[in-house]
Amino acid sequence: MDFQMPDVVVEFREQIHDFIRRNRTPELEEEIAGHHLHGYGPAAETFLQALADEGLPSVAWPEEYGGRGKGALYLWILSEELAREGMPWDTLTYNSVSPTIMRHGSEEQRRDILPKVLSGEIRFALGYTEPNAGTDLASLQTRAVRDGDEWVINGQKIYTSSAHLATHVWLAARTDPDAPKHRGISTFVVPLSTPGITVRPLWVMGEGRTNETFYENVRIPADALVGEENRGWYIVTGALDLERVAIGTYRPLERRVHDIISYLVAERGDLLDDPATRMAVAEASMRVEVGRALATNNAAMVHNDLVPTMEAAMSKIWKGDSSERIHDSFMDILGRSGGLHESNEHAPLGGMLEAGWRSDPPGRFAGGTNDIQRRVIATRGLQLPR
Amino acid sequence: MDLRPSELQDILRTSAADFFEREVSFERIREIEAANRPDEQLHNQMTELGWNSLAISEDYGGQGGSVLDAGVLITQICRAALPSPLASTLVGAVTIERHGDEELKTSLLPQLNSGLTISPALLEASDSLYGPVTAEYADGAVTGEKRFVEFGETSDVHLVAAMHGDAPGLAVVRRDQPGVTASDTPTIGALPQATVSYDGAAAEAWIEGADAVETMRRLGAAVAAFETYTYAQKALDLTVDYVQMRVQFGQPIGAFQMVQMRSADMATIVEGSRFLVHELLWQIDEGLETRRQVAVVKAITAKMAPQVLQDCHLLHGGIGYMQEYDLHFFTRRGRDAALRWGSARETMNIVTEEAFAAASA
Repeated sequence: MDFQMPDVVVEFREQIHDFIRRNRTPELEEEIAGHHLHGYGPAAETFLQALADEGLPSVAWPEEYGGRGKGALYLWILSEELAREGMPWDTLTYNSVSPTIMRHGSEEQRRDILPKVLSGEIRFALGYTEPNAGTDLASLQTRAVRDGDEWVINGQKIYTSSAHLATHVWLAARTDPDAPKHRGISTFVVPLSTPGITVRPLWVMGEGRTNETFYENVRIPADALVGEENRGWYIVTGALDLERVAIGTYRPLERRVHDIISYLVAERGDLLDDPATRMAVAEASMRVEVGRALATNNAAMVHNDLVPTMEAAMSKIWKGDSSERIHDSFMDILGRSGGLHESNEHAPLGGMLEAGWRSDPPGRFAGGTNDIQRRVIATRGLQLPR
Repeated sequence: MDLRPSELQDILRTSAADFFEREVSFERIREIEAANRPDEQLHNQMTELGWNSLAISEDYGGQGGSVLDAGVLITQICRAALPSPLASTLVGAVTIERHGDEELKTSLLPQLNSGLTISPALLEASDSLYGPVTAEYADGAVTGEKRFVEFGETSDVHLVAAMHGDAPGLAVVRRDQPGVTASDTPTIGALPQATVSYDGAAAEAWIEGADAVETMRRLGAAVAAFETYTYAQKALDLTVDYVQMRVQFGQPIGAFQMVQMRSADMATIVEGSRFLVHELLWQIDEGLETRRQVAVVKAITAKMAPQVLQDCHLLHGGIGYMQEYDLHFFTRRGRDAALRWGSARETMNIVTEEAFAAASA
């Protein structure tokens, strides 16, 4: 067993931080402060384009698709470092959908789509969830019907986050209504500019927006189908596993715990000998440490071309639950001022606890609710009966 | 970064698992527990396999392995529930190798190959990892009282933390001599531990330096964290097997969502701990700074294990509570290991101090 991060990885980290230093504009800072969850603004778009231009996301990908062939560990490092610094990053496009296309797409699709992702021309939104297909995703009803050289899509998706920013939607639709529900789903790459698609905003309790998307006789070419027809469920679950690895990143939490403790030491000397505060500080540090362990374990698996399933579910559960626990316990420790909004000049930590608590719910339900993840661990990991 | 076991570690794991499977039945464990002393024959067999000097360099007659390699052995010892002085001897021997002088190392360490056992002796009345050390070393002899000395009634050598005037250090004391009195202190783990009084007991050597005491403390805590994790993992493995097999209401109880969720939460914290305890031994091997890491890993394992162990009992129901069933070996030993070398409360306070210090820096 060797836990040493290779030297080249350490160098890559430096390169990332150098990029961040050069591209962290005041406009970007302001935008990030106001958008804790979804909905990057123009400064974030500029940042992501600069990142693509600099070629950082391409480091991990095979050379034949425009990358530099260094392996998936590098992509993980990039998303971790950006997350720690609170910088914009397109997790869904880079960590979930693109690797899935790399695995299941045809050679033609890979050569067409992947270089455009790297140049910033293509960004994905996810078209999984429907009003009546949330946790029970396999019961989705959006239809794709073959008509000559085209597919015709009709239906509705919900929580299509970043559909107002993305260029394409990675869509799961039913292609065989007569098959058992897991065996009649296929996956498509659909340009959001296609006639018949309507995007409507839904405003969230945290900051920013998500969307509903409506598909009315949306016609896309036959080769928009990725992978085998009616095998889409297995493609989607693999993509969700990859998404969870990225959602399970512990780095933003590490940063927050660091900021909270620094605040206590600098501003709240009266609390440093309080037993409850001391235990909360230890508990938060321990939660970050376990998060680091689970995330690094995932990274090592991805590095060895394995798809973590149980392991991804573990880090995702841990991160979501820990974030909520930590925001909540320090909000309580700070008393009434812990709930102050960032617009109030007395808000501790710039209102981080208030905004953090409001933004915590998706960490526990997005990408498959934490309780379903516990089922995944039990049945797919521990092999308990379904 | 490669988290898979090395070839040597794989061989060690397989041969140790085979050895315990062949030699150590739970009946034998019950006999060893009743006698309240390690089984000499087993210890000699393990010594002959080179395991007692595994992590010591070849310069001193050892096998040239790492502490992490020794962790592979400790895993199998814990999974067999064997009361064995091998882990406490490892802590003592590695401390001596890192801080002792050449004369001590060349005379003492090769004796590991003849089965020499070592008991670190640190805790005093405060029961605290960083509590005051009042035992005194003067004129080549040690006076004081130590508590919770693992295998203190039977080990050959005690490594006793003491003060030489204002200077802390470690005294190497033969147990079998006048002035050393060890009495059994039964604890929840049913592993032999002793309260030992040293009354002008002659020391074979004196290793001066706070760093030597600190090395012993960190190794002890790291190994105890490793053992805590291992007992929790074993108890969880038994539980996962059991809920697949136990049928109630016409189906395996492992099909019930409450059982699945409890199992999933246990598996998550145990998996996180698995990574951390292995990484910690690796960090010790690499000579990295570990003060904070030892405390945080010890705290994590000490906090998670008791809950996991009691939940394993909950899922087993009545059968897991029976002495003739094997679960209690692991749950009692795991609870004990969580207390040894720093409880959750004590190590969490160290984690907090480290966090405050880092934030002030």
